[in-house]
Amino acid sequence: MANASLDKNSRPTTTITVVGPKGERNLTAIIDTGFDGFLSIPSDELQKVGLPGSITVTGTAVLADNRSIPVRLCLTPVRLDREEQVGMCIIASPTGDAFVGMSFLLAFHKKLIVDVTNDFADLAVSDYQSPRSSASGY
Amino acid sequence: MRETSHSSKHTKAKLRRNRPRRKSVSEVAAAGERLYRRLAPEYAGEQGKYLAIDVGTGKAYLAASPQDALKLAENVNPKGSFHLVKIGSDGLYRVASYGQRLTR
Repeated sequence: MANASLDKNSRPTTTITVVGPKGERNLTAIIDTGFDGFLSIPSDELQKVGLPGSITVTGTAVLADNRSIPVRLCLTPVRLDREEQVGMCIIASPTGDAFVGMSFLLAFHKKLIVDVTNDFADLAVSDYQSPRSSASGY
Repeated sequence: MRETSHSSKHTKAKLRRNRPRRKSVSEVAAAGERLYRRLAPEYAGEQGKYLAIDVGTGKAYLAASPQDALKLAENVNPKGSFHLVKIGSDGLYRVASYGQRLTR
């Protein structure tokens, strides 16, 4: 069964479960091929599951126009289907969409298949094990 | 009675004032970038790996992934503030297509 689909703007999306100390939450996340990180979730959604914790973790995100902006991050356990992985999540502005990036696909060993003509998308198991898989940076 | 309550309120306010102010995201990131500029030559041969920099102590923790670097740093200082960098890259992540959503 396909675990991805296209939204009304033909963007590929998937359903993930974010796991925190206060519970779990299912979210529809846009699969963003222009994002090389793991995950980006609005702060309001993270707060509902008790994330982030008390420590401050930051990083720098480089935007399309090459501007660098500081972002807050937290370690976030996420489930896709029945598999769980823990990766760094950008804590985005309170409202908006959740996004998964290329490091997410690497962590879950998935390949993205998009067929806009037939309104179809899927996150299939990647059958190719590249050397990058063992040195993943998610 | 009133005096005690007033005095307790006064003490709490004093404690709040004396508590070190928590750094903002921008302040932690700026301090982390400053420290990284100093540390970068030491890690020049570790392109593509990640550093978690403790902005309080200036110590850096190297690992193959950002989450592993952070775990190393947190084990040493569970209450620290940390800045993550990808060695040899302009930033930790590139957010090319929907970047505007990150700005508040």
